[in-house]
Amino acid sequence: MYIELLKLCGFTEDEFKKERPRIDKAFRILGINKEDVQRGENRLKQNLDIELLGVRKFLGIWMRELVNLVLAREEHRKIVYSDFPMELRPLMSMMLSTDPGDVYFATPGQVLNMTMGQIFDKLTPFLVAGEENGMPPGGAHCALYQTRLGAMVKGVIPFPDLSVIASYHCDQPAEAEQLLHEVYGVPVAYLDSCPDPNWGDWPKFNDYRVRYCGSQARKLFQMFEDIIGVKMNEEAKRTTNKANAIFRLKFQQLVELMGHADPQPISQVSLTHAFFLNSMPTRNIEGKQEALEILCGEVEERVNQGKGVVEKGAPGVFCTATISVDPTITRMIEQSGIAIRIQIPFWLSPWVMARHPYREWADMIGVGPCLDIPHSGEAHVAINLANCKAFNVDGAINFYPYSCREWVPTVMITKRTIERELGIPVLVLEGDCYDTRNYSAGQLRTRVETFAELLRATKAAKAT
Amino acid sequence: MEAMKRLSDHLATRVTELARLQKNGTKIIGYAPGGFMPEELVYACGAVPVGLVRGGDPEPVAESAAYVPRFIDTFCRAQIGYRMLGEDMLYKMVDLLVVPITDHNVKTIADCFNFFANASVFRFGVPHQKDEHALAYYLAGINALKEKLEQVTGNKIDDKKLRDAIVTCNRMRELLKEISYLRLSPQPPLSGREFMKLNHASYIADKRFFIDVLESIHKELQKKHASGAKKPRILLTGSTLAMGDYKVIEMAEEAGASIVIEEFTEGVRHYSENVRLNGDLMTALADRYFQRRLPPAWFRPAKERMDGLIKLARDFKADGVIWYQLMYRSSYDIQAFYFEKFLTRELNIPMLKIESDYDVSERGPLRTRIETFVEIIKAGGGR
Repeated sequence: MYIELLKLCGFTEDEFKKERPRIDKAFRILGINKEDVQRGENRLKQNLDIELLGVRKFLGIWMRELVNLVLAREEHRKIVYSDFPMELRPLMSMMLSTDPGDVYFATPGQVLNMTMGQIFDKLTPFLVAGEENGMPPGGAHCALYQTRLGAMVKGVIPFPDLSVIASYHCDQPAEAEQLLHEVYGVPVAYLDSCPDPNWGDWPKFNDYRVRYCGSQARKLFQMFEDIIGVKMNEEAKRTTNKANAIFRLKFQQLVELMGHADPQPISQVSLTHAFFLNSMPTRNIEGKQEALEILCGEVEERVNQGKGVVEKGAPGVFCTATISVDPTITRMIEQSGIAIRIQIPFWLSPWVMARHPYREWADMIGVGPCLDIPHSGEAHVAINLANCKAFNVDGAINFYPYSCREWVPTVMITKRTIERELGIPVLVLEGDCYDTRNYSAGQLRTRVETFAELLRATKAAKAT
Repeated sequence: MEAMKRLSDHLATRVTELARLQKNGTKIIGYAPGGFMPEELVYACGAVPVGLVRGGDPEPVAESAAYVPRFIDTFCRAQIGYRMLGEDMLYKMVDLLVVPITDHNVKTIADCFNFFANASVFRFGVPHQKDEHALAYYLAGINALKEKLEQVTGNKIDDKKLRDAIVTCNRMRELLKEISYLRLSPQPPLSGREFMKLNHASYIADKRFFIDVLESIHKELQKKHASGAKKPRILLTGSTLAMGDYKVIEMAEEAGASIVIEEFTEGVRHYSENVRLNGDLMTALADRYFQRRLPPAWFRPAKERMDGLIKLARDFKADGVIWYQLMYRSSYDIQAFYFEKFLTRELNIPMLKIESDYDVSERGPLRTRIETFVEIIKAGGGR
């Protein structure tokens, strides 16, 4: 039923045969039927650069994680969860300190989004279950956390033995995990911080904030040791740091290659699988590095051949739509004749790459993986502006996920700042990165097409 | 009550009085409520604190749409609206706005005042868990605030001035608590609405004058004899109970219930604890405003707040709980789900959850729901 689908996800014949009993079992629990598989194949072909081996290999990593996640309770003694936007390195270090057969680590919301969402478009039952069990509809709760709660409550994925959650980015992960603790008794380690720097402080961080985050990290590791029964070791930390640096830097090269190429060589949707692995603790480190190497080579080849998914000379934008669940929105923007040069938070600014004062990741937890939103609203706006400048864009599309508490506050401030500082237009779009029920590509298309016309006219006027 | 009349007259001219003080060089320090801002520091440097606690009006919420999407707590959007509309002098006149950063909703107030109103804003963080590190973080924050206030006013805060300010604020809190706790009696001598108006006045009124008024009111209320039939007793809790947002209290009391205690930042959390005067005073402020304070819904773990609510409900012999939250305050929305189960298990009394976006169209359905809830309790659906 799903051989073709798994081939699209980079599985070889041998891998498929070997994994088949586990896949059968997981798909049965997930309720994936023939119709879902057909839909999945169609979506992959329509929305991704599926002919690229690198893209298929990344899809394979996510698909394997889905199976691992569903079967985690019967295959492992202990389970540890976290979720986006938690900093990867502490999770990965804890994971690598444990035996692969003993302890399972995952960011289940992300795994479900990238597979049940992006591929199968089958998240609604989980979202509804999340809404019925403590995160009600109409309250703009984060759909990522509704999904993972719903999947646990429905028994599709197991409840964890420990949940590690960051509240330094957004209020909602910690609120959702508190529910998990109070109602289902799951122990939760919270990594707290406060986005309290004053306007004008960016890019400075105050030391007492970093010290506080360090104390939070120590508490987390102690809790991990107490509950999971494993002590984090130095070798795991070294391996993590090395693997993380290699992957992040290579991804940065790919993003820059894409951002400066004309025409845009592949869809930005095809980068999402690599991007979200920056915060998903998979044990398949070699696999993800190999996939990235292959993808980089393939994109480079396309650039050299002058091939693209958008017409050469198309106006380029900075776009904030990092949508894991619904690829059709990003594709719709590209199909409107707009080249998406860069998406936040794919690209790390030179300040982040070179000047960040805190080298130890235990300290950096406090300032987060992309270092802007966890700092302040001012920093978020500054990083948006830096993205626009670095890729010399003709406009910006500020797609904001309506339920994202950290994103919403600065939407209008970002728009006005970019327009004022760079003199380029900004289109604000309201949507949801994790739930397709209320916002669709079709609904947003008219506005995007009009914006594309405006950008083309402005670009043509500048050229004459 | 004569004292109430005096207070009402004082509040009517308070903004004019503050403008006069400002003209003569006194700094007016506004702050976002949430209960984490020690007013004592403002008094100790010779400035005047004013809590920006107005809410309940639809117009400022509509106005805020030009500056921030609607998916932010209604009260926080209203604060942006009041400032940008420019009709309330209090919001325009502050020399510095202090915003204790509790979550992204409150942070939005700070960002919008900074960017759109070009206001002078000072932020300091409030951690979400209580432990020694969190306490140290909060203490570092209020120490930074102290420095900022000294810089803005040009006045040093010394121990004597701070101690005097603490004594004054302690006395105010003590009186508010004594008055509020008169409602422990089977037939409360004042209504929930009357008490909340007093409590809200404490954010704006001159402290010494206010203490004098509270002393008079306390004396008068002690002499008041109980009368009338016993009413269903309601504990009102939730995210924010703003000055001017009295609709839930009014509807409940008009339906024949008695609001006996309000568990809000602008309710019992505001006056329940006093600052201890032994030891280092800054540490004492952190102890009172952070460590011993009744926690809101976004504090973790939730048990301290839930136990506190149960204790209040038990002490005040509540027959039911009204949970009043504002739109998009997700921490309260989620906690309501499991608190209701906890309440049933611990006290077996009913809870009504209400959500508001300060919209006038809510009033009809709200009244129906509240009246039904009160009727259910009257009919024995309570304890």
